[in-house]
Amino acid sequence: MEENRKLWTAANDFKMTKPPVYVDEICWNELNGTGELNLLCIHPFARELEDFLRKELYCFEHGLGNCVIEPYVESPLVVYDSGFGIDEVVDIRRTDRNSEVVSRHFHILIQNMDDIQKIKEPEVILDLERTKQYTELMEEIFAGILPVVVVGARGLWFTPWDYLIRVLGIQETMLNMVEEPEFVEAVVKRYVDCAMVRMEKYQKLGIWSSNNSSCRVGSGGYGFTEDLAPREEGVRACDTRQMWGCGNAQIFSEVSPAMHMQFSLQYEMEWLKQFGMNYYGCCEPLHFKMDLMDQIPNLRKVSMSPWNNWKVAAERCKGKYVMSCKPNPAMFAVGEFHEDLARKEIEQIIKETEGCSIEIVLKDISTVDYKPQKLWRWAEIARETIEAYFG
Amino acid sequence: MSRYLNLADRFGITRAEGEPIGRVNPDTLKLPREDVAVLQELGRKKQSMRPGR
Repeated sequence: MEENRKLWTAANDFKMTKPPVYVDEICWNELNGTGELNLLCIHPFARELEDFLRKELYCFEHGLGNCVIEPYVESPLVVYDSGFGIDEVVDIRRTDRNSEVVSRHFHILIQNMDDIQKIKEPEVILDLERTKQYTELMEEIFAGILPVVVVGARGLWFTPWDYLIRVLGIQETMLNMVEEPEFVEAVVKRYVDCAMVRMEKYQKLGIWSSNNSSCRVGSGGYGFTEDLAPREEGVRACDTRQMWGCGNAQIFSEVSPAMHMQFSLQYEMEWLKQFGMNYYGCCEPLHFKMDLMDQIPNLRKVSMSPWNNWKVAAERCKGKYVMSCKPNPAMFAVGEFHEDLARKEIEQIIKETEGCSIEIVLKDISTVDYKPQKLWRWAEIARETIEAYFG
Repeated sequence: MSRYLNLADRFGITRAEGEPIGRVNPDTLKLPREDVAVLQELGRKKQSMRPGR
């Protein structure tokens, strides 16, 4: 466990000895063939805890990446956050009724300048009394077994366009960037202004917690680093300067660098500049937007989805940014699992990023065709391949 | 597209409209003995994976 912690810290701090592996966004509904994820508890509070623990142990026992299992259980602060006052209205199509992954068609809820005020500043309430009650209950359950640690928000998924396309429409947004640029900028500005209000409220209420820990940062892996204050100093009321932040505009995959800056990044900066370190990106290719990356304050890690040219990006990331390289999860979808292709892809990542600090993040695993063995085998192949190259 | 957007759900609790804040009725948090035993077993398993092992 300690070895994994060191591995992550080294990779995040440009001292990588070998790439750590992280597996997340898993189709849990397809992994329970053996029943090891069956919930036995009856009480809803107990079931929630049981579910979390079973999944955590599952990842470790099946070797899904370089897991770090902390020697404590977390009791999350009870925080009521109203969100931004407007939620998606959506038509859904399913291919598997047990899966959370669905196709969506968004209804357009913001059509003109007047509608922008539908985006509201979040109301945030910290309920310490209930937090204490839940924590005491957990302490009673785990007495003599594991300590209970109260934690708050270890970062937030800040990504204006993941939210806005749900109320503006995707095609409509793409067209409006050309036809109604003032409108598009006004919407994103309003969203970011409201997000900044949220950030201040979290700060004032002491809700931020350090993510220098076995906590996922952005769309990548763990946040362990020696370049921020240790987690123990910021379990509660952590200053954002001692935290990782994140941002992205993944729906802007095909949007030019100039328009990416105009309609997203210049506004995202408001949020990103408050953090000690940043992770940028998700599914979008960024290898041709490295000039933009160079303008992000305190940028430490850049997402390198399968849609990137890793070799091109590596030239710009070497010694400057950690590359968060993501194999393509489509390999699990249907039919036979081609081990040779899985191995080849990991080898390609390793070769094309030579000299860079990298992590390998397998995510968006929407399906494994109900064959969890494919995922376990991928994890073995990743380990074997990394061992072969790095010893 | 990945991940979900209801930020409150990611670490805390979304309050239903009109739901009071503060202490809940302690009776609603009385866990069956069997539930506690299940959680303790999982806790021990997690504890056995402590750093250094």
